[in-house]
Amino acid sequence: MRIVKFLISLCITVFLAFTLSQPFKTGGKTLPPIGNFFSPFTGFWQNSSSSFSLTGKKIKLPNCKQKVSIKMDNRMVPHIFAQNDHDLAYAQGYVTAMDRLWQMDIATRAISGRLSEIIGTRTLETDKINRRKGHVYAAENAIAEWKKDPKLYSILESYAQGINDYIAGLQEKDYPVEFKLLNYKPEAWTPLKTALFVISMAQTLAAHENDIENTNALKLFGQADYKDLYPERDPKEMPIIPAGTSWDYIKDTPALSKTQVDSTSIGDLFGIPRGITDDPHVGSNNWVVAGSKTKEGFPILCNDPHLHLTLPSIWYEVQLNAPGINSYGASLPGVPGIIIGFNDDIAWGVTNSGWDVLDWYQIKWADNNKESYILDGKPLKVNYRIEKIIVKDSLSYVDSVKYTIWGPVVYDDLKNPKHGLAMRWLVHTVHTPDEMATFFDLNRAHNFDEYYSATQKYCAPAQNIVFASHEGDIALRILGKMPARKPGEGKFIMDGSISSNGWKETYPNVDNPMSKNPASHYLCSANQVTTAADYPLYYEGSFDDYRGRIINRRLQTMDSVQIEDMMKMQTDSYSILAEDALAVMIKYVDTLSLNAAEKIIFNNIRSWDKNFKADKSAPTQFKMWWDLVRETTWDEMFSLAETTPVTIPENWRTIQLMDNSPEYKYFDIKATPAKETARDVVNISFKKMCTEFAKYAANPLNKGGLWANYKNTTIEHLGKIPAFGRKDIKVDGFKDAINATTEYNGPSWRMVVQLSKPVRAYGIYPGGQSGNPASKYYDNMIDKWVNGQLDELVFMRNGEETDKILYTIELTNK
Amino acid sequence: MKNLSKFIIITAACLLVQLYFPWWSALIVLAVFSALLRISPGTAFAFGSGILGPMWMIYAIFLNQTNDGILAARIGELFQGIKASNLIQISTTLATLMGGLSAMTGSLFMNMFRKNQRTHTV
Repeated sequence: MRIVKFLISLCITVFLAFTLSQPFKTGGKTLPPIGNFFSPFTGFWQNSSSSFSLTGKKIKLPNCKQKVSIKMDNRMVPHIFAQNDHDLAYAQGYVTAMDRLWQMDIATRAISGRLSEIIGTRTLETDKINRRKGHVYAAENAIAEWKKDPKLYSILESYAQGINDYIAGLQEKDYPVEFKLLNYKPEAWTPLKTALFVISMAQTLAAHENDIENTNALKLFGQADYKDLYPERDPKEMPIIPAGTSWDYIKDTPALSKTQVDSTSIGDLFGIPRGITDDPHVGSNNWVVAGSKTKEGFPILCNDPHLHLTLPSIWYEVQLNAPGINSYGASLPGVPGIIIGFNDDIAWGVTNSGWDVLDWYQIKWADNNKESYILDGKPLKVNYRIEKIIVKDSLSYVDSVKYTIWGPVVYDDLKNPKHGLAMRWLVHTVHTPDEMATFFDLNRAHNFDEYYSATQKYCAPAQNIVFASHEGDIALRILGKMPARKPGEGKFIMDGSISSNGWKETYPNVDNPMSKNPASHYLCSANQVTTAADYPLYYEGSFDDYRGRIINRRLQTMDSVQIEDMMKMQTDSYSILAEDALAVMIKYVDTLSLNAAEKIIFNNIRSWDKNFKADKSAPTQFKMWWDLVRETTWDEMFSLAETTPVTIPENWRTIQLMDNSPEYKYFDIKATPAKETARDVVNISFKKMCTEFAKYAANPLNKGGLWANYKNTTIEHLGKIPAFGRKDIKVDGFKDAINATTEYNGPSWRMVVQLSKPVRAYGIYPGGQSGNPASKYYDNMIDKWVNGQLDELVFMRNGEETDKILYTIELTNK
Repeated sequence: MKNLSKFIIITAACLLVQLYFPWWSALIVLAVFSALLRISPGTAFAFGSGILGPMWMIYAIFLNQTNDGILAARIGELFQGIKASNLIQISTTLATLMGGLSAMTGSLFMNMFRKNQRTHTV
């Protein structure tokens, strides 16, 4: 009897204890082990006390060579004072991991196609695509090159050591809460992961192309219409490098064939496979005003990169100080050094360049097993790269990815078994040993010459790097290795069976477009076209048309510029798209046909100042109207989106055609027997918009159709855990305005720096330094960011005590 | 007095193991001590739940107030919008139940080797 009682009690206890220690599956979701998660000794409660307490600490570490002081300021920005470069990178790794360990893990997992390991079958498709695109292959190629420069490579190793020594000091209870929720452990950091992080930035910034859509458009509409619908240059555009810049410095350009690439040889229309192309809608602004145009006589440099807004934020502020360097700015968690920032003498900032560096090649298989493909008439064997995807709670998935001379075969065309699409991406192979020296040297540069030689080493993703120095120089260079293309190459899917269809080398970096101290006394870039048409080297890509124009317009008329003017300008929500479009649309509206309700809306739009303000309804009405005009005009194309996507003509071209050629055949609506003109399209769209808007605004949740509600800016958690993100953010902005805040993207870091002595710098980003959702520093900067405020940045000279420093962490050798 | 010292010893041991080992290490401690100290099954259940339940509750409340409940609010949202107090209840209930069960199991184990039927009361 006693045995029975004991056994019953034992069974129940062991069963419950075991069950509570296992992940718990419910309705497709997997919850962490309840016992572990709810224990205040190991579970989420432990994350309540932030991983570092708000007091000073002395930490002994095995790989720290000399004493390092990390001074944490009142915005939780670490100011690292080290005595050598190793310790500086080591401490940067250590302190970044302290705040952002999970973010670093998930970002590198995602890009390398390893999410399924921790999540399960739900992410398998994403992982497959990331493997097929060869991201790890690219990172491995980078590492192979980087290892050839032992001094630079040792910096990556020091950074990794710092992260790993931080991880080594953690117990399970200290793991960031996301690890507990997903029930896995942090793994060691390696330089390869830094390379993966760089590749993930390239994937976001340098993987944009429209090859499939362009190919379909060319097939469907023919050469003449293609040229007409998709002209290369907007006559109103203002290139990054001002027109009139001399190209005399371009000397050693590779000899290029001027023969057009034959873009008509591809015989097929392509249904687009989901996930193989990206349209991330990211962009950025940077500009610099020379001292001659500022009130205090010093250059002022501004930058706001627009990226996917997430919590934790993509940026991590840090100050780096060691012999030869005293630099402050925004760093990427996973990469040593500062990407956007300043030091005592210079400041720099980046925007993305739209040059197309990703091409698709149609592979002609030589055999039915697809083991070899035709190149210049002969069969050539593919190389295999075996990708094993470990899937949580399921069988592993093995993919033998085929590599051709162009790159990996990402897409097998099942409808056309003879064909596959191989991806040629510059970023796969472009790396050089001293690639990582760009930011290492830039952080330590003091003048234009040092900026120039630092940026000379840059590879990818291509950036427009703006510069200002205390000496008074301003400059802007387009940086990165760019394919030396034949005219027309890269726009369309190309025939992969002809080797001469691919570029052979990149343009020398010295030939990249640059402007220094221009007559305009300012320089700016906002992802617009790089140069005027007279630039002698051929390139193509996708470029923004409106932000560059508004920045130029604003800066041209400004004088005696002050820091405050620049901060205000960064939150300018005026849109030239709205200005240009409405100039035509309003004039076409048949006002006599409007009913009372429509008249109210019409007058609301007509009297609108084209600022995309959160608390106005006109921006919502305009956006709805403009979307309808586009969809109605290009109905021939939108109707194909599901089966055979084609490029939609650009906004500026749409407006130009509406204004200059209202009878143009594409304005005809295919579904109706009548023959419509641009005027009809505008009126039909207007009435439709009025109905849609009334319906939308009638919903009490939509607050009368205010722009903030319609735009619905959301800052998602990186792991898409809604409770860890921030939604319904009432903020001004529009994709084509300087304040380019959209639903999920926006200014991810705003910085304004005046190159005085001492330098005065301001910055903010929509997030917080801590990656811990329990910390008040997790999202503490969002509200200020919404209001367009920037914080004065604490830039220390030599570790002096200031009242802004809350506490100090000391790292010493064990 | 004897009960109090047993209570203190078990509490201290429970605390100690949980600082270094997984949560269920406390269950082993409770079972082992209940057995070694020959606590009767009923009392053992009361001891186990009375030690582990409040221990988890007090610690959870303490941790929660160190950051003004920011995290509990977020975690609560994750679990269908429950409040911090509900999360504390979940932790407390788990500990109370499992603490009691494991201590009782330890006691019942020792019971098997006892000569007379009458359980030794504390």
